[in-house]
Amino acid sequence: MIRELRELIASSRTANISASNSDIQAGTYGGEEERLDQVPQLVERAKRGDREAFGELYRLHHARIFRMARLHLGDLGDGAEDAVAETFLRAWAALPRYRFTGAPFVAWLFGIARHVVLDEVARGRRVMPREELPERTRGWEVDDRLTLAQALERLPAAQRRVVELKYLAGMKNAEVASALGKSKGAINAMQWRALGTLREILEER
Amino acid sequence: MNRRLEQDLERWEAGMAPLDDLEERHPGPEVLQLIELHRLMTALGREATPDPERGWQRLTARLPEPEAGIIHVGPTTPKHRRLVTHRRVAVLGLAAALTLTGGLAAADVLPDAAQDAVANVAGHLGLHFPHSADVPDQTSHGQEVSNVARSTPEEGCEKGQTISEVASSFAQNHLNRVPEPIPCDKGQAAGSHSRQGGQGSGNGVGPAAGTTHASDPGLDHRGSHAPPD
Repeated sequence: MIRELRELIASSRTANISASNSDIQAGTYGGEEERLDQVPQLVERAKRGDREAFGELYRLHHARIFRMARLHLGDLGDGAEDAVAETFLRAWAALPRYRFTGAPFVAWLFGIARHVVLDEVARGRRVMPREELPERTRGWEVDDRLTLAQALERLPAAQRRVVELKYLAGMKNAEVASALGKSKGAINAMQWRALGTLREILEER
Repeated sequence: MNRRLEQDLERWEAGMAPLDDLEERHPGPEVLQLIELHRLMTALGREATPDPERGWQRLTARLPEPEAGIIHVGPTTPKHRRLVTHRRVAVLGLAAALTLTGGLAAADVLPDAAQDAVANVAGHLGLHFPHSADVPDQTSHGQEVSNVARSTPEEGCEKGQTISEVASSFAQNHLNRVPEPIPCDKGQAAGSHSRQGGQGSGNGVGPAAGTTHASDPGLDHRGSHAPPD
């Protein structure tokens, strides 16, 4: 299984595996850092009904929510895009109740997105992985993601949240620690423990 | 996974330790597999996604109009519900106070002034509670009984009857219960009967002799168990 995943990494369109580890840890996304600094002001404006500010929040967070939805729902059809739209619709309705707690705004959005994804999965919109391995096409990538998503679902909830917030939401370990109310050291340990559990689950398959 | 491996992986991720060191310290496939998984997950977080502009154009048409100018601060309970709650508390408190006061008034244990006030208010409501003047002083009643007991010239049963009549006058006046007087001669008969019964059982020789009830005709028992003359 791990060998297959390594092949997936090699074939990934945008993966930059040769990137330095410190770059990975920082979770930078091509100049996004600077734009993310504006999030608190954008949130305050959006809470007052400013659609333009909410649009900026959408553009800043769309990719992260989309990746999370695609991991769980697959990317055939508009399932992931619909889940993103539903997430932001619910966020728009809930924004007046949003209170800044020190955790990044994306952690709050991920909480909503998770509910949306679970609703979609319950409605049967998830694309199930195939029994046999398909040829190396776009579908193979979909299946591998869904295999990974199923393995993620079997992680203990705390470990799964760490993995989602760190790898899919692109949060730094310190930000994940703030979002989950734990120390950075605890998040570091949970991250590697989660990957260890994930490796065991994937090897079982 | 042991703690030492977790710490070494943290150091590697932070760029503080090269991969060679990690492999040397932790030989075997586990470390490499964990690192591959870490890289896979990182790659997943960087995969290309569709242009958000198209999604936003579709979404913005679906966004409902916000209620402009509403900022939620302070208590979240609506004002009319808070008023209802305050009224409810006030009514419940008044009901509890009336119940407690009424109960005390009915038991005639309130001070005179309070007893009269409650009786007046209750009277307007169609309830009957006694006024302080209606309630005899129970302390003086006890004193009266005691005086009769000390001063009456009668003896024995008659003295007891006299005291009993005075003592029960409270019940006659206020509880409308009139106890039936027991004539002294009947009481004496009952007393002698009981004594005879006891005597009979003492002389009995049968297995049930010791358990004979006081109301049983003792003479009959004695007769039945006594040896013939």
